[in-house]
Amino acid sequence: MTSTRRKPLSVPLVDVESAVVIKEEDSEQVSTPTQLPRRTSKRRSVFTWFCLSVLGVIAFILGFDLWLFTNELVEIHPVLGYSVLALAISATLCLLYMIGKEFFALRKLAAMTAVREQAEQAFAFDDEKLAQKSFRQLQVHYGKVPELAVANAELRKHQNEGYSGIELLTIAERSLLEAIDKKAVSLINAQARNTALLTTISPYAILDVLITAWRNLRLIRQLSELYGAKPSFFGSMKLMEQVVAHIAVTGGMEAGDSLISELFGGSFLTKLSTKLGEALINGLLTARVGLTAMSQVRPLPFNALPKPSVKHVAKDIVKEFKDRLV
Amino acid sequence: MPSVGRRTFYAIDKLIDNIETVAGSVTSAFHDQTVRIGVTGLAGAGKTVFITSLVHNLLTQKRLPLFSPLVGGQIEAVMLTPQSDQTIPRFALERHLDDLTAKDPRWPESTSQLSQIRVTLKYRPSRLVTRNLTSTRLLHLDFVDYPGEWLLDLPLMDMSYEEWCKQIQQLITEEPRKSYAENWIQACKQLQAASRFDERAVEALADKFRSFLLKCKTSEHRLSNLQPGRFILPGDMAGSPALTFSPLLDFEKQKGDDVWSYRRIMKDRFESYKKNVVKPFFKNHFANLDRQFVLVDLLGAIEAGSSSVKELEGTLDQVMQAYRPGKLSWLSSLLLGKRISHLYFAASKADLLPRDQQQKLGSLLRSFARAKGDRSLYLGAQIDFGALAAIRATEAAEIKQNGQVIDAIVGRSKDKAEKSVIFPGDIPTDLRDLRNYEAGDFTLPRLAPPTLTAIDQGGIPHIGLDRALDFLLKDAIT
Repeated sequence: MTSTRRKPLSVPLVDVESAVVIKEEDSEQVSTPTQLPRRTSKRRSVFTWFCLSVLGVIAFILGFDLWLFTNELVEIHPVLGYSVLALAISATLCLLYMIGKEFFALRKLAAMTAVREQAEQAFAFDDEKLAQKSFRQLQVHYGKVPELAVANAELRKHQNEGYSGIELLTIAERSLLEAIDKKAVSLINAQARNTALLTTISPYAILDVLITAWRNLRLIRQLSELYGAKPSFFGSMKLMEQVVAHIAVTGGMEAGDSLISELFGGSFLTKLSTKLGEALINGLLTARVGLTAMSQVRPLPFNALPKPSVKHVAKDIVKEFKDRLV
Repeated sequence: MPSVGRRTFYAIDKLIDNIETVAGSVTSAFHDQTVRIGVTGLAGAGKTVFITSLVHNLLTQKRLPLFSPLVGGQIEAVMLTPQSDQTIPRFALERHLDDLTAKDPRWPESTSQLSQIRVTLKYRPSRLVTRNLTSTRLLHLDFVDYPGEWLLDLPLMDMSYEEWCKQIQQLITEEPRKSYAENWIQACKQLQAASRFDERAVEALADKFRSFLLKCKTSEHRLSNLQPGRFILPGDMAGSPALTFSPLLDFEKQKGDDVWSYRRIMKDRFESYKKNVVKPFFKNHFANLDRQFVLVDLLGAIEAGSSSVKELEGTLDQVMQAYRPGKLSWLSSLLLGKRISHLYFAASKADLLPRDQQQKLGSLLRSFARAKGDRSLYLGAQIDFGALAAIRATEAAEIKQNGQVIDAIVGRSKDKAEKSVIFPGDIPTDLRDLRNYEAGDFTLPRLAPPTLTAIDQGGIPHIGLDRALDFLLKDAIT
């Protein structure tokens, strides 16, 4: 043990050329951007390979057809043929661009999920290293957001003030996410209210479903944008999938139903009109979807701040309804 | 007619006044709440600086990002208010702040007696019942600063004078106490050989004993388990007979038990010390505490080497005895069922460590104190441990040495004008390692205080104050 102990040392600052004094404001030394860990490589299943092969065959057929088609057109008239070729190339380029964008958006989402999962683990197992790592990634994620410049500067200062990684995460949750959380909750509130109101006036049941689905997807997009993940089609789909899975696991609409009767005290509104009751359920579903999505796109678990609950949103919706009706 | 109207108006006015007074007295019962927080530690642990920085940071409300009631927006205002007990000296916050913020900053001088300061928090209650009754409540925090040496008198309470003499005689057979005690031993032998009682001789002997204790304290071994505590920090009783006594050598062999024998006089004074000094302190001050900070100079002990660490272990054990009065019947009866609900042990001066070692200091203290017995003995008090620096006098730095990067600190030594890069050494990783440390393995720099001219806006830089506050006070603010 004794051999590994490092000896005390004290030298005047001017004599040491290699010493680096870490300035409080200077964060670059501290938060070197780290590569986000890739998800453990998923083994592609036979089904995936099958799908990929089929897609490849289709692509070949399409390409071949296109080639034949353009050749024929060129024989008829070169201008026709080349314009079709140009259009096809531009379409391919656009497609590639879109795929690339989706890819990066998905990576960003995955990175945020990774940060949250690491933080969750760090909290659960009191893991200092993981907490530090998660904190550094959080800084990479939010370090350049202009609205959070002050909070970021404070956080960089705190890194030298003897706080542990877990404490830093706690502080970061308050200073970085509190304002965003508030915005998110008010967004969810507004969307839930909108869904409820729209479905009250919609004449067909199928329209209800469409409206709710459309509103929910929109909400998910807005939420992921709010927390800094780039909104994307596949990203939203993936989130939707997670949200649905989560809601399925936690008991579907039962909570919402019991909540409604609880809030109405003998369900006075539902007695007033079944349509109103349904609309409320739709609104609550949106709220639930929104809150679940919020916890999915949020880069940290709810720890220092309380997790917003459906109840709060529900109360607001009911209040709005009562105000408008009574 | 107008006179009737005016009279009615006055009557109503008076009625409203009365109602307001009644309502005021009813609601103030919900408003005010007092928490008495003891702050103690052996001399040199940094109590004065600790309270100064803590109170100042509370007042500025900055730099406490882990103190959740504050960052959660629950606390609306923090102010200094007059203390309730007019007989206790007030903690000289302003003077200490002046010392620290002077152009040529000095560490504030240490205090040797009990003092107190009251900080009042105005907060919005979060509990449903209180929230509906009042919009804001007041919480008075009384910080009571008392020397940790006084807690060390506890074991004396269970000892007779004979037993105490025996214990001292046992202790001075070993180094390093042996060489420090030489003067006193000589004087003691002389006194015991004399036949006639002489008050001046008693005074001289007591003085020799006091200087023996002080030598133990200030030596490089930093002995800390020293009794009687008032000999080192006399407080307001200096010079009284209750503080003028000394143990005697070979007590059993002494003869004579008449009123004027040294034996009898010393014994009486020892008993009176217990009755008039130790007990009143525990009764009047200690028993009223609700929560407690204990500052421990663990780094100083590590620097001084294994004998000092061992000594600190014993001292800490004694201090902790005071907080688990189960075994001490006289103390339990004084406390009358009152107990300290939260106890925070802090290893002070954490800023003298590079940042990668600061966390380790807290856990080292934890294992250091944990080894000392059963938690259930604390009667349900919540205990936590942490590293702390009331004022951060250093900056973080890195040294590149032989291709390795070492975390280090930058600070200005007390006697030098320019700053140095300092690596104090590695602190022990665990208890076993701690006992192997010798002087020289670890060197604490003696630093000058940092320049704190602009602290009124930003608060005093510190390490871990908010962590300690959060643990100690979070549940009081509801």
